Amino acid sequence: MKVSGYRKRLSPLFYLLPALVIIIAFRLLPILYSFFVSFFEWKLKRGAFVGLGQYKTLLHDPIFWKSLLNTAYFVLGTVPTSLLLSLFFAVLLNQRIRAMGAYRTTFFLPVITSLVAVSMVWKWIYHPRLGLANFLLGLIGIKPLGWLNEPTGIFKLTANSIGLSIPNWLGGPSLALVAIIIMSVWKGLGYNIVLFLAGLQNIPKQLYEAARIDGAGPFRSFRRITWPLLSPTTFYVLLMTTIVSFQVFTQIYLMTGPPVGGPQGTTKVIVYYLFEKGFDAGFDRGYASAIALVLFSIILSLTLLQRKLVERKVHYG
Amino acid sequence: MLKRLPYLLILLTVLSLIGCGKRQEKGKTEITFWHAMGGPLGKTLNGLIEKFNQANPDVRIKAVSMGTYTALSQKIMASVSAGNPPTIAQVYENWTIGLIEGGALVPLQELMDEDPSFGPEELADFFPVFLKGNTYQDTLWTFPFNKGLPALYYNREMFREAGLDPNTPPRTWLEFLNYAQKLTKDKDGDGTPDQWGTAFSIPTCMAIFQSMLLQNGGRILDLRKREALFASPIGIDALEFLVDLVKRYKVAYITSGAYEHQTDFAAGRVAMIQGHIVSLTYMKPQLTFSPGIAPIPQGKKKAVMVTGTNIAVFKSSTPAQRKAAWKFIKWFTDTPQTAQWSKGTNYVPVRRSALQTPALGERFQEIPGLRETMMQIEYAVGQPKCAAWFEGRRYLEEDAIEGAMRGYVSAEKGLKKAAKKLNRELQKKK
Repeated sequence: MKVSGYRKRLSPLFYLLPALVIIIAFRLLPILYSFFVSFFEWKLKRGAFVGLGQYKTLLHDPIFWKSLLNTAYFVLGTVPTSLLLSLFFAVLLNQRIRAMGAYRTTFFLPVITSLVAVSMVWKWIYHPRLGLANFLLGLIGIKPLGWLNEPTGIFKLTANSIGLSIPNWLGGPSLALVAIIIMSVWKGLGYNIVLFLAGLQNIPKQLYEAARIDGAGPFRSFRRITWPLLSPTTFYVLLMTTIVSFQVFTQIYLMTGPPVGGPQGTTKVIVYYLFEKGFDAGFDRGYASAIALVLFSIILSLTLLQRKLVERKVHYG
Repeated sequence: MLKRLPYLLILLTVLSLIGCGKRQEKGKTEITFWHAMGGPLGKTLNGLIEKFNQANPDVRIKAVSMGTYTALSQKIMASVSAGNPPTIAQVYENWTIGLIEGGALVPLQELMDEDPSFGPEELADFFPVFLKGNTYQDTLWTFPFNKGLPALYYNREMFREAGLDPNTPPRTWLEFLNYAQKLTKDKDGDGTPDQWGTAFSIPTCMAIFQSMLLQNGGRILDLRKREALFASPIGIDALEFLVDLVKRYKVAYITSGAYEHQTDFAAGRVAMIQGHIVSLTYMKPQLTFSPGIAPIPQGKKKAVMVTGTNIAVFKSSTPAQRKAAWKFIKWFTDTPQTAQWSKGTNYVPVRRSALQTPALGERFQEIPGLRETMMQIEYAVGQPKCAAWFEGRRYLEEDAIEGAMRGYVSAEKGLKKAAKKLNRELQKKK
């Protein structure tokens, strides 16, 4: 049967339809709608049109800026750590040794465990009196830490412990936020490892053989073969981890407080602040939508920037 | 056959979806009731609703538990925005303002006025603080539903060991400190106590702070002047006292979660805690001893703050539903039912006459101190009724209470910061 050109062009659309409908209905339209909402005074129902009023209030809202700073700390703490650690473990897990399946499973387990369950477990790990974290510190003779209750910046804490004093604004993320970062890196590690493993296994073995014949050691072959050929994966991991880190919410909501986002608001990240404004106190939909769109623009521009600056160095085989 | 399986599945799905549609029996008014009563409280509530449904064949109450108050508020607000709220729901005072302003509620006053069998003499039986808490601009918009009070719990055995009379719990905060000092013990001599006078979670400190503020003549905020008043010298003294219990006298510690102080009390690590009158119902499964329950310590005068929610009727309901809703609310708050509710949950009955019922009489016999704890209602004060308090609570808890209790700011600085933020909210909205 001969298929006409018209039908040929339309048929892919038909196959895409189910996915498209879902994406449009539950992703695109809500995004556009929240754009619309952000231009209004919008509590329970639509109120007066305020144009950019919500955005103007946002600019003068110290809690918004603080939550942005907390998010930046979280992203800077999570992304490089996760990237380096997962690459490191992926290279190790790419060896031919016994019981490799078991090791890989172990690293992947946190990924498939529900984030809610993981958050509850880590909350106990960080418990000041009964937690595993302080127990382990005690074994090596370190005094117990406040972990999730400690609002002091990590740099300040470190400086204090060696007798130095630094101002609060140089203190860095609070120990509570660092505790969340550690947990989040652990949780996401397995996923990135799997991505890196897939990337590593795509690199032709002959290249390594040739390199060995030419006298290259393991470090040299990593630098000259693995790193450049893995760059598409690395770029993808970098992009996705950054986006996901900006959207951190669950662990903050479940592990910190009461009041959530504590101690002293040092773990209040942007998505939690959006939730607080829009769904928890005041039900200020207009304001929350404005926050959502600022977050959207930040992630979008960062992704574009990464594509522009980093992708130039990516080697697409 | 296998080829047709997908069609069969689709057919089944469609059929089952049709089955999910509204199945309303003829002549029966169905009303939905959204609440947040879980665990033992939900059990008691469902029992009462079941009883109502059986006694009223023309009405069916469909109760839906939302699990937590946070989830409940989110669901209510979202459903109001979307135009399909429940018929009735539990609501806090600071949600109610927004709902009234958004035109989402029917004032219960209207339904009450239409009912000749419910006159002013009925209302006179309600505790005045509850009526005041449900009145907004001279109209009774909602009805008291589950109303609680703070309570002091103490370990009788530890009292005896420390040479204190287990039948005279501390009556003032100074006495409380005195008791706590005697009850804090370092049994193994390692420098840190293994038995503590008391323990707080941050929300507990928040509750005690509010009570102490009222007891010493302070106020949380002034609605007319639209001004926060908790950063007064009275407030600063109150918060400093709480901080001193931890830092200076070392008879208290701060727990991590919201309810850990209860767990620690049940585990015998802590001699006295301030909780909620309903905490007893929740702690019961963990307790291996029977704790003393008493009114919380007092300051210059007696005062406590009422907690808990009210019940509201939504505007999108039909006249028949409103009538049924009023029937249910009237029934639920009537003397026998409110007594039953109180007996099953420990909440305060909303009517004075309930205290004389045999159901509660038995309960008071069973739990010494419970009657006195409930009688705090005579001098109880309602929560601030303004939408800004939604955020104001958070500022007070985050900037002042948590900051000062964890030693991050001074009580004065923290309170002033929180007051400044609340003032900004108060001036912004009505």
